[in-house]
Amino acid sequence: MTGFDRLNKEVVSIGLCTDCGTCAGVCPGKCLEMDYRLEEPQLVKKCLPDCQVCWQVCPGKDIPMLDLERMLFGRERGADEMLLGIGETYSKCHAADPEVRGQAGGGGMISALLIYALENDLIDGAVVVTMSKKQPWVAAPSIATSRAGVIAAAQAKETVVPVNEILGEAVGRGLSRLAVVGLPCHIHGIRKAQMLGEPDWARDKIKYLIGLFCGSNYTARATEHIIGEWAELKLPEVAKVEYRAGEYPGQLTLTTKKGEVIVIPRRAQRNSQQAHEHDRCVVCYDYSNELADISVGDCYGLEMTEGVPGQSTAIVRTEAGMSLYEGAADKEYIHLEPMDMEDFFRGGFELKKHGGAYHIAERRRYGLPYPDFHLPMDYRSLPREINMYHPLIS
Amino acid sequence: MAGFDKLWKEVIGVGLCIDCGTCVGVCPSKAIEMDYETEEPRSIGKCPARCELCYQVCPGQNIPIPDLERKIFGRERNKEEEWVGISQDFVIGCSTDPLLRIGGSSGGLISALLVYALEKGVIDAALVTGNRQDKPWRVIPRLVTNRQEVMETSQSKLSPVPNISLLAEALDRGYKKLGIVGLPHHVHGVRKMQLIGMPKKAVESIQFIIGLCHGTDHYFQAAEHIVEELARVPLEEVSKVRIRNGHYPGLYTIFTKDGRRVVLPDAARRAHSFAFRKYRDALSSDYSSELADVSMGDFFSPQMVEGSPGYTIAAIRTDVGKKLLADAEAAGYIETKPSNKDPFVWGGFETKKHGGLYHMLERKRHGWPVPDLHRPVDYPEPEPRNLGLRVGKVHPHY
Repeated sequence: MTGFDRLNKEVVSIGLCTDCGTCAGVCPGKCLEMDYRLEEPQLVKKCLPDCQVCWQVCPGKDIPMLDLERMLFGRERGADEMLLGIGETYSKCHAADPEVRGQAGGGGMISALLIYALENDLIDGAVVVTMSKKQPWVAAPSIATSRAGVIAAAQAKETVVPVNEILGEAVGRGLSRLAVVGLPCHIHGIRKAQMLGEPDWARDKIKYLIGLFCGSNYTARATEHIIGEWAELKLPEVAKVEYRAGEYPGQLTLTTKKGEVIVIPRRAQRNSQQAHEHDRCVVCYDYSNELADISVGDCYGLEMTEGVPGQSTAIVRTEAGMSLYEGAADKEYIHLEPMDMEDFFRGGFELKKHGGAYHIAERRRYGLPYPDFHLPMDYRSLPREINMYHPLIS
Repeated sequence: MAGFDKLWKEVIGVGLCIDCGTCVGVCPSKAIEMDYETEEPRSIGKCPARCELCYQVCPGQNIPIPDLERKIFGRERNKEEEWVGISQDFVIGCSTDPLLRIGGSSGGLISALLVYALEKGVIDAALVTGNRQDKPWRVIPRLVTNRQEVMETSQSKLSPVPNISLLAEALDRGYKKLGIVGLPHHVHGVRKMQLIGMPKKAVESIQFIIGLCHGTDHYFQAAEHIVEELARVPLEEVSKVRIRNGHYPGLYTIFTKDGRRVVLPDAARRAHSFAFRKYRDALSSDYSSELADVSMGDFFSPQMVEGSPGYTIAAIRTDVGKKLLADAEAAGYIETKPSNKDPFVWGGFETKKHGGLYHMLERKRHGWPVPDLHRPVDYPEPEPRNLGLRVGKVHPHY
């Protein structure tokens, strides 16, 4: 069986594809392309003989978290690390530069780390996500090689995006030191490639993995429905889509070609998005991006309210992550203050660590396909301090 | 294969049970009961020989919409009726009794209709949803026979509940005329009974079906997580849960045995519920209870503001529904005014009609078991629905 046949049989055709794009990004024969409507890979030419790389790196069905932890950390997670993975440092942080901070959804931490890495010659480029120029409601991966490129990619894009599809192209363009910003599924795919040692550039050229916290994600149809139904616009009328524009925490904001600006109420947005939750995201069990070098997300602190200066939170996990984080702090690209691990049990935590665990258990019970994270799961209540009035929730 | 074995193989075991309870309610030998941990039926006795009634009435996998429409309305829906189903009229209304109105989720119209029907002898009892006494955060089907019981069971419940399982018990208790209040899948189950005309006594007892507009259902774990994590109340201290307590639109309120009340912000509550959305619920694509005699829901009008008096919307579908409303209004129990189809494409419409079809078609494409609606459906395209944003006003729900 060819690599793609196997991938298709065991993952794609049975509904376990996360749309991470790793298969297309690593394929040595460039045989795969991501279909942006189906949100799945498509075979565009014949697989190379004996090649199974796409199937081997795919995180759709098999995510050997403990094996990957042994590779990364030399050990498996301990009892107190079960819910957030292995971490060294927990902090609240933000970009020092007000322009970078203001452009971002949270505190601009990821933008600041990338700008630090580019300006200090630690990387040649960063794989990020931007809205397409031709179709501004479609999010797609791109490569940022400058401060301006990083700022242009600021703010989360709230749909599934095959980020990793661009990896092969990035390496092909001669970039030999890359940072990748990704959701848990993207990071899982790259870590699997690094564990496999194929393609060789996965280990040699991908220097930093910056992971985003992820509570849930949505098919691209969600954004299309919001545009058509709440904003009452046809897609070609849209010139710009920003998911977190304006003061903290920002709102989904559409700008038309005629210059009209339409701000979508947060609950209206959430309602349409949840209706279109991506099917594979329902059964994901990684909230805090447990295998990234540094995981970054919104700050769900009790003090956060509408209009305060944005903050990020970060978990530094690996040595690579620590050197990037400390370097950026030393050179004053970022400001940080320590936080307790308990402060990270908020935000999308419930959706992944309880909801995801629950839905995986349900699908197992019904004999339906489900991803295997190789981790014990427990969705019993975990009474904890939650900011019920956090503006991203309320 | 025995009836229940078939039901298990084609519906329950593959994740398509929607917890409506119809199988329990129709079983002639009481061989099925609901398991309140899995929220699914289980066999507790031997199926009668050659009986497949539970399987025949089950709406988990097989929902023959065109057949049911022909039986109920004498025709199938036309193009204009695609999203809301067949109706003869739309009204908005409320209970004339202020206690029933404030006690309901929106305008108290369903409570008022049940009180009217019980007090005027239209029905002897109604099948509705209440809360468990031993675990007040959990829901359970209830038979109500008077105003007091209707008031106790008012308001949305947000959880799957096998209402129709009480059918056999209602008949055993000697009730001959029954009213049904149910979610779209309860309506589907009862309509399938009516389609095959079995069980005869049960079919003859049903006087009307009031269907609810329905966005999402959540496993009982959602309620437990809301109580324990958001409200941080130990389960054993809960005395009552009201999902839309207080002035419109009302808030999720937990009452404790020592007299405290914890009120939860709506969005935080919803985020927690969403984590435990029922598996089969994500595959459902009937928002407005399209096969009921009359369908009711909250008036999600952009004109509504926090603290407005609540209104209930009603899609009058059959002559039975039309007569129920007209008689209740003539008897002074309810007030109505004319409306149109718009309110039926607000609220949870998106979740069911667009999200439900999306998930159903995605899973079908990937070879998973999905419900069969017996009619062509496609991935829904966005359509403007007068949601109010462009005129600067949205419902407080948003």
